[in-house]
Amino acid sequence: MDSQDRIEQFTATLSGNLLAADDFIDWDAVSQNLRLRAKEARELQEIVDSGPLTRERLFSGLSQHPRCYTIMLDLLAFSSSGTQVEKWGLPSEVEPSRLDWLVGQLLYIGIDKMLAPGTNVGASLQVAEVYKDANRRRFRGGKKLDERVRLLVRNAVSQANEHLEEKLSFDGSGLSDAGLRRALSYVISVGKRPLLGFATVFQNQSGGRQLRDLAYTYPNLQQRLSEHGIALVLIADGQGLKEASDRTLGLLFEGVRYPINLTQAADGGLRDALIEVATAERPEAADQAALNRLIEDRLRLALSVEAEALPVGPNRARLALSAYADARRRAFLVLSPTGERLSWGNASWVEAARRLKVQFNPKAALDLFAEMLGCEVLSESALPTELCAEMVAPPVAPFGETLHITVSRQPLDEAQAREVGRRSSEMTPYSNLAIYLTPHPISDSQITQHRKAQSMLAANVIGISASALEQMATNREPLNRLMDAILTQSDLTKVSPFILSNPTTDRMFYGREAEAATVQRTLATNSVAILGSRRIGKTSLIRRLRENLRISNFQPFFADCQTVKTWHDFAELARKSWQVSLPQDFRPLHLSLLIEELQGRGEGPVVVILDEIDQLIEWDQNHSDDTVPEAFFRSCRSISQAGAAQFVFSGERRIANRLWDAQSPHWNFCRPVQLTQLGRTDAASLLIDPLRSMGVKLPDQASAAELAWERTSGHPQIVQYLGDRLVRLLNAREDRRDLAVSSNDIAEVTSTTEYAQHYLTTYWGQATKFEKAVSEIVAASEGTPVEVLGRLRELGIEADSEALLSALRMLQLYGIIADVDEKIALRATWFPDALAHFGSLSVQ
Amino acid sequence: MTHLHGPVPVDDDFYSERPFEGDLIGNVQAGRWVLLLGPRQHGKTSALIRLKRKLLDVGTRVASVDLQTLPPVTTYGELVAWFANRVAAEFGVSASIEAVDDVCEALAVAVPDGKAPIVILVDEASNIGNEDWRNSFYGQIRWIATASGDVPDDHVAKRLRFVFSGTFRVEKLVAEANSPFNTCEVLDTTDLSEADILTLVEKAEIANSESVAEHIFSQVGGQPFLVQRLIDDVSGAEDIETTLQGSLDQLRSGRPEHVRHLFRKILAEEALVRIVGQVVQEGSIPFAPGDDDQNYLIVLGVMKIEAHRLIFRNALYRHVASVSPQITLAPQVSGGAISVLFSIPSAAFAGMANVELREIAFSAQAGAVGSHHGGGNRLALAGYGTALEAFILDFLLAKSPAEIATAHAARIHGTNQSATDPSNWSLANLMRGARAVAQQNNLDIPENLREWRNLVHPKLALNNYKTDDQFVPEVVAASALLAMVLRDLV
Repeated sequence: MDSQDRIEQFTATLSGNLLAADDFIDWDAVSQNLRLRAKEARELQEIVDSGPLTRERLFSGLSQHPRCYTIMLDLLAFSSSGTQVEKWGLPSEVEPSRLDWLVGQLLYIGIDKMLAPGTNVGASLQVAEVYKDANRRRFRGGKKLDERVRLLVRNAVSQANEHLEEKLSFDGSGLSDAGLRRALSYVISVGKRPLLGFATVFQNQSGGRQLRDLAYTYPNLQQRLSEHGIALVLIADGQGLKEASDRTLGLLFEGVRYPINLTQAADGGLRDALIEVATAERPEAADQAALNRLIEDRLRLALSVEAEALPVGPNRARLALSAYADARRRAFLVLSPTGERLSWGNASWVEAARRLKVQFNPKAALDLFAEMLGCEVLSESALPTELCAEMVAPPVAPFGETLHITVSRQPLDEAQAREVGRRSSEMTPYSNLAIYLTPHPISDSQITQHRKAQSMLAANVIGISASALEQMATNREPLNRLMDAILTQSDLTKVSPFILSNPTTDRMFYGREAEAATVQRTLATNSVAILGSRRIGKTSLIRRLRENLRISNFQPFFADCQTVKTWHDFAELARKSWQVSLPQDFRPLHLSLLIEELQGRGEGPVVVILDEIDQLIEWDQNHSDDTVPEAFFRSCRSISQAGAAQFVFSGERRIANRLWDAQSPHWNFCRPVQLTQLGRTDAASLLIDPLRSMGVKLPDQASAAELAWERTSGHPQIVQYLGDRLVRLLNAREDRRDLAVSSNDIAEVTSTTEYAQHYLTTYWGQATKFEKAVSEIVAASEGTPVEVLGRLRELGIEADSEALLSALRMLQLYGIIADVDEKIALRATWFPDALAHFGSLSVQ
Repeated sequence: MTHLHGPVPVDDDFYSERPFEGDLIGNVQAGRWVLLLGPRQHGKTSALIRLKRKLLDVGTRVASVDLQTLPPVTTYGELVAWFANRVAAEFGVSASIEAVDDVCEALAVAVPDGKAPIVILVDEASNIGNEDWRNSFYGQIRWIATASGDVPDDHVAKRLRFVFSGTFRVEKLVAEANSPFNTCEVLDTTDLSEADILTLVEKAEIANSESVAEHIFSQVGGQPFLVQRLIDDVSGAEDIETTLQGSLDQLRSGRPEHVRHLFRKILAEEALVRIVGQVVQEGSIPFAPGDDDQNYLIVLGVMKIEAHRLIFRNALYRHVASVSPQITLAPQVSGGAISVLFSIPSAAFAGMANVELREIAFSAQAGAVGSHHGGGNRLALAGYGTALEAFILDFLLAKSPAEIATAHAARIHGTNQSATDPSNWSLANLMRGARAVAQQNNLDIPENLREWRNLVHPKLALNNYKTDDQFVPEVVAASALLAMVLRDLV
């Protein structure tokens, strides 16, 4: 089983919550304490019920029931254990001789406010008990886990011993290093020889410290134990582990011999690990650490290491080479079939990179870089001190099609970065990345500084030193090492794939298969009107449709009519877009001439696609240039019905109203295709795939997708807005080693007022004030149209049922509501939460 | 040194960079179009000239065009040519672009060859007066945004990135379908922080810097122009606190151009007046997302959002609004105090046919405001009366002979007044005539205004004598009465 499989098995069985319900609040203990103090609580209740807590009443009450005082201390959030109370100037119990003074003190700190008339002492005491219990929470949870681990280890040892000749025992005395002993929970030995050390790490959340523990602390511990011939078993579990990135887990599994979670441990994993270690033929422990160092040194200088070069017998030497390779799976190391030689898989690249470290040759550096990525260099030009090149980029995000590379003997500094960014914008303007190859290493502090300056540059300039080239050469996947550098050094907002304002590219197009199929099927015989609110993806669908139509042997002719307001404008656009000759005094009757000319361009049926048609519809309805109303679209209908060509129109309110207008029958040649939100799967892909393509991990993908759905209801623009804000959140992180997005991050982004405002304004789009009011009423309480009408009237908004139904239909088009027939239900289900950001309904 | 006129020069160290400026260049360099919205005198142009410098420093090609410098043009083609020629000049491209109706076509000639991105900064983006041209201009720029994903790599539409800046209503400047602003990342200019103000005060070497900065911040928030103005006022003063208080009192009087301009914008729209009045009364109101009027008040700089509620941006604006009878029906003024009045927006006089009378009416009421603020309330009342007279005279002059005859018949005295020409009628008869012609039973042309106008005559002023400063309520009422007549007599 390779390490990837091991990681997958590990993560699949991690626990999301390590705490049991009673770890949070120990209700048994709370109830017991309440029972024990019921009498005092009753007595205090009597004092409270007797009237406002005056000095006299308090004095008299405490004189009669001095034990009530301990309850008062609890209610004032004091521990009644003594010293803490006294520190604040109160006695731990009532002293009759100082009662008058005590009453004064209690009133001074506000006991009369705490116990105002009407206070329920029992209820208040319960809250106080829960508070006291909270202090024990941390210890309670930790203690239970310790006990669980102790049982697991004990059982595993006794089960393993059933299979072993040499029995295992709990004995750490053979481990001389006291510091190491303290770092371990248990040491298991055979006789006095320690074989295994146990450590535990339970993480309820992920963060910088937690990631450091996994990636560095425990691998380092294993390294130190290895010097003593001890394998580390790390029992690790919790939500923090679930949220750890693949890279972190890779480092953990590479560095620690036996990472295992609680479920795996209980299912026999612990027993198997014990048996494996106890029965393995192993080199002497001290030798193994020394051998690793010898192998490592040799591989650093040479391209391979021979077993015979190691100062141990041949079998132990072969085993040492194998163990070394097994523990370093990201490195591209190849063990010969006999196990006698361990070599770099890409020896020629490693050799070339090492030569560059000694003597930097720009041309050689460029060639090596291109070869390792498997990309062709398109052009090169030598400048006085540098070599510049344009290269085909790796075919993955966040690269564009081409990549600019500058190779220089100079270190990467601010001035160099500016110049490279400038050159990149000239040579490869649609790439947001440029590479700078240099012999000089780049320190962590330089990277931090450089990253801050990236937002000013025309492109992210990624510095790759000769050492980094060597790391690429020794990596099983050189691109992974480059992606590490990109994530570490970039202004991530520059490489964000999310598109907020323009039609989406092919790479970001998800879903809409059903709508596209409907349109294409209809166009064989009829025209189509694509209806939808602003930013819902009409133009993106049309772009995709054009390609599909071409493939299906249609002749699509597209025109963006957003600036077309008159027939004259349309003729101008047609001339410019399709190079047709039309009469200067263009009239709708000339549309047939246009279609004839377009038909002559090719074989297939003509489809005229007119995007953003609302303005032209308005003019066609209201102009005074012709006595025939809606002459333009009547002509379209004639052409469509004659089968000379079909049309695809897209628009929002105006076209929707025409299609819904029963008095406008000449629009019946169009089949309406309504575009609302994406489906759940497509919406999740639109958010998650681009993040993954950037190398960002989603440890709790399912819950992240669920939360994203809840907060967007699948509106594609809002999904992309969320993605963009998540990228900004990542960009603000100083530590770029393990970039991950969790459902907590989604919750953080979507809990802002800015997000709520964007959500509402995007869904509302061009909605009228009346439509907004209706949507707010439905958000407050779903109901039938009659009920909504009644609510409107209650709020003083005059409306008839026709106006309401029209508004509901528009809100349905906007994807805000789902149904207008019976009970009106919200489709954009987060609407009430978004509105709650702004207090009460604006219609009230 | 402080800068109160025009943008702060790029190399001036008396400039406090604000966080939005980092976002601005970050967005531009990430390939996004940006709309920078913010109040007047809020540092937008200063930010743009710094953006330009930074972009040039990193080798990004950038041109800036200030639409405020647009000369009179007679055709749309001339407008486009002017714009493209300005861009060409910025890039040093030798092109003489003739009148052309297509922005993209014109810019293709105006920008340097190559494939590198081109950034065009459009300052004062609302400054195209002709609505049709404005829609065409921005519609064509919007087309560039849409087309950029659909054209070959060397097409100019693919290379262009725009930054628009101004103080305007996004939803009204351009028709929704044509608006390039929908494709922009919208950034708002932000106020200075109290720490920024302290730095500026310290740079100006003003004593007691902390208390001065605190005082300034408490009154004008971080409004950059007002902050700089106050620092400039107290810089070098012997008695800093007294000087500062005097400067603040001056601002609170509503007379400085900054305040007048701002409140004229508010008074020009009834919906804005209603919202501002509501915030005066209630302290704050719920912010309603998607409410264009509330958003515009934020863009204007009068309001801001705090804890999801709309509140005044600073104590100064709140004070001015609360003592302006044009904003709130119950101005917080006591006897003898000066109420902050603003001249009625010129748009209210747009319906007057005679341009000379229009000028007379507008100037008379503007003079009335000036007199009131200068402590001359009788003169102010005369100003309002004069404006009324000019307005009614214009109303009657535009009527047919038959209607003038009707008006003449309604006179009460003045037999020697012309039956066909109202120019020599007394104000009393003009008012009677207008009432007769308007045939509006509810129309009330107030007699008070006429009577108050006569207070400039010493003899009449002696009757039931009051001191000048006692006429504040009459001035407030006169302003409102004139606004009513302007509204109703159309």
